[in-house]
Amino acid sequence: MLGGSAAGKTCYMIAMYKVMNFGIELEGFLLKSSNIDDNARFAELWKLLRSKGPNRWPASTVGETNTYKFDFFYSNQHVVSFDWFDYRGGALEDYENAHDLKALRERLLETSCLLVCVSGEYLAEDLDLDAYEKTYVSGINQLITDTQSICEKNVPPAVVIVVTKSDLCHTCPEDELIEKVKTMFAPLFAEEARWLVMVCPVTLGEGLSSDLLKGEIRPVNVHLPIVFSLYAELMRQGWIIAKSRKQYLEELERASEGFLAALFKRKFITERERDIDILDGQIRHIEDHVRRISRRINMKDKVHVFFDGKRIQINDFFR
Amino acid sequence: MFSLMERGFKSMISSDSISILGYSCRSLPGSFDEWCLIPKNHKSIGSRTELRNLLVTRLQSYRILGIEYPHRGIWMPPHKNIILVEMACLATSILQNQSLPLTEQKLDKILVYLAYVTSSDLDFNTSCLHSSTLFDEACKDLITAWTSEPSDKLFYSTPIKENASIFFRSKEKSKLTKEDTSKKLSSINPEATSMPQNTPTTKDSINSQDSNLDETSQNRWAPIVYGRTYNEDYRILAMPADSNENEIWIKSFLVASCRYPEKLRNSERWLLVKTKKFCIVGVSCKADYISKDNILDSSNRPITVFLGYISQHPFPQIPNRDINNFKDLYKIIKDRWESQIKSDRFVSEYKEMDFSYPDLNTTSIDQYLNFNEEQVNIWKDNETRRQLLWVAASKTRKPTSLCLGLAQRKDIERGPFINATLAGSTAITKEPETIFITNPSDDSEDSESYDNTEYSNSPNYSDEQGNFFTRGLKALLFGEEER
Repeated sequence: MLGGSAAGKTCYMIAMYKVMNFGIELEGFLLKSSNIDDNARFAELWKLLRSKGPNRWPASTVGETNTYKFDFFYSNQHVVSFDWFDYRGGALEDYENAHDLKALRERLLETSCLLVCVSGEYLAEDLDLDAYEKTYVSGINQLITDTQSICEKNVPPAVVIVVTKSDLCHTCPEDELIEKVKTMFAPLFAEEARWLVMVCPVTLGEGLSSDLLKGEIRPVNVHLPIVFSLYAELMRQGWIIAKSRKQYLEELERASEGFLAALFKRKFITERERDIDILDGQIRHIEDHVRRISRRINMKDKVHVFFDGKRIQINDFFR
Repeated sequence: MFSLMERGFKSMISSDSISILGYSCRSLPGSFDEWCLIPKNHKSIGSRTELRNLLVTRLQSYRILGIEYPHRGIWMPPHKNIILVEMACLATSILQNQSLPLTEQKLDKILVYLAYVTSSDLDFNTSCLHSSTLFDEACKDLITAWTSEPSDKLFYSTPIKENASIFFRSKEKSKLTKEDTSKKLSSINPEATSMPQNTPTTKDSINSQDSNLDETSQNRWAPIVYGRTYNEDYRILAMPADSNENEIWIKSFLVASCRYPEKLRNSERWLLVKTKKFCIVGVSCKADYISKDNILDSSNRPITVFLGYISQHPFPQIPNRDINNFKDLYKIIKDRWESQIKSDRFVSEYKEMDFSYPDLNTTSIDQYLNFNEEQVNIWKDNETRRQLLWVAASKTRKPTSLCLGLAQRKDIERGPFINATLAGSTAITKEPETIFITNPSDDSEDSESYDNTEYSNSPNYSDEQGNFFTRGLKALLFGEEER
């Protein structure tokens, strides 16, 4: 997760975790922290958030990075574990001179999904220099471009542009909001760039724009970026397994050519057939999860998904 | 050339009384492609072979400490009447933006040792040890060596130019008394390999050999402040110039002491770090704990601060855990409150301070204080424990680190402190609880290990695409032809 100072990352994490920990709207999907300390901290901060008054908002985060470990469950079955890397933006602000920029780039190559937090307050009006500076757009775009060049033929990580504090830009028409995001993060929407991008407005409560101290905390959409990340990761794993299956099939075909060849390679053929069966099972398992996600989580009207710069519908893939 | 802006002493030193020693090699000393720099008049110091061996030994000593960051020090070899003012680093540190015809070599694998050698009749101005231009002339000589291609890779260094003597002076001209000079040099411990600027993870930094505390040293401290201002994010806001090389290392302690700021409401978190070279003491707290104004950032969030002091070896007495010793430092943040830039650091200077001090005659639990960087000792957090540990860490002469009142176990396990009290720690039954540090990458985590074998057995893959996915997955993953 990337984002500049005061982008709302901490609040987003707290709300996301509590919503997904309760399983609200997810119908069977649950998120749990692997670390007892993190669990306790999220609970405490959520309690403060739900209270009213000046103490409800968490203190500004100290330090460059924070790391968390989560486990994702469906129907009480563990689906996947993942690391959450919260990066505060020092290197993005000063892209050329940051000493830990190399580590950030390397981390990005291992990432399944990149969450970029942009505060809605900068999208309410026309884009100006302040919006670009405060959201570290320049640094993020440079990072994206670098990652693109390193990825080459491989699929780059999926990206979710999380428009935090979307209550502050609720007057901005949806299409206009999307256009602003596309303008700011143009490299992600370039043709044939192979970026899978979701733009997801989130808010802790629609009433907060009018009363920060007493407005009701009612999170909206906070679970969607994570669910989408899971979707993207499952797709990636499926892709990897599918490639292996194809390779095994070809090996099997070559080994089976000719009667004598098939006779002498019987053991190899049997092993390969068994491997392919295993992979088939894995693929069915993944497809099952992916269908559940797309069927039970209705993203169509709330978020926008793009691939290669073109808008796509996730539901369309599972007719 | 040495900058004339550096403060130093006027000198009557002749141009050939200070010489350059230099050595560079591939990652291991003694490997091929090593270059030696020795002075032409080296015979008074030693033969070529002796000097080469000395250089290899000195570099190896620093290499053990880890030379990702440059080290500097002063060394007096036993039984020799000479002083070495030395530096060890990677080649990338001294080349900066210069390019060299060494394209086939990886500069981050070339180790460098440079030193000025002179007789101990001269006095080196130790406050100049971290001058940015101190080793300029020596670096130039080494770069000249790299770009030449003689067969034997042995070079005679050029004599030091006269203005290099800014950093040295003859002892009879010294403003320090002979006693002070001898104390200063002897405190460096000629038997030690160096005066390292250690990282917390370096074993040698926790050498059980006592450092020589000078009981009569002046009480000189320089402010060190970490926090944020109204518009600009967290950063070091005050630090003396001679700590710049250790900034990353120092910052790791300051940041760690400020974690989980919600638990700092109306409380203090105390920090004490001692190495062989310097000492940091201070307190982390919420800004509203010590100030009524300039306490919320531009997003109306309360800010957290570290207010402390740093001192060089030999260390003065450690002040008491009294917020009054530190709260005036908040003025440094207030002075920069409206700053629109991050590069507004106050370069603090060492000054005599008038602190309140703990009673060191109370019983301490020094025997429980941990000095091993591969483990952490954790205690319950209460006032009694805090005081005992503070007194113990104040008294000890061994390098160690201590943080009182950390909020989360994971901040201790993964942080830089090797001694800590854990706030709200009901789980600690035996004190101290000792945990051994593991590499974060080896962390098997607190939770059960969810080994989903269905995903863990994925075999290797080729570049070809699969052909049995649903149409949607294929279209999304495998490209246009599948859509």
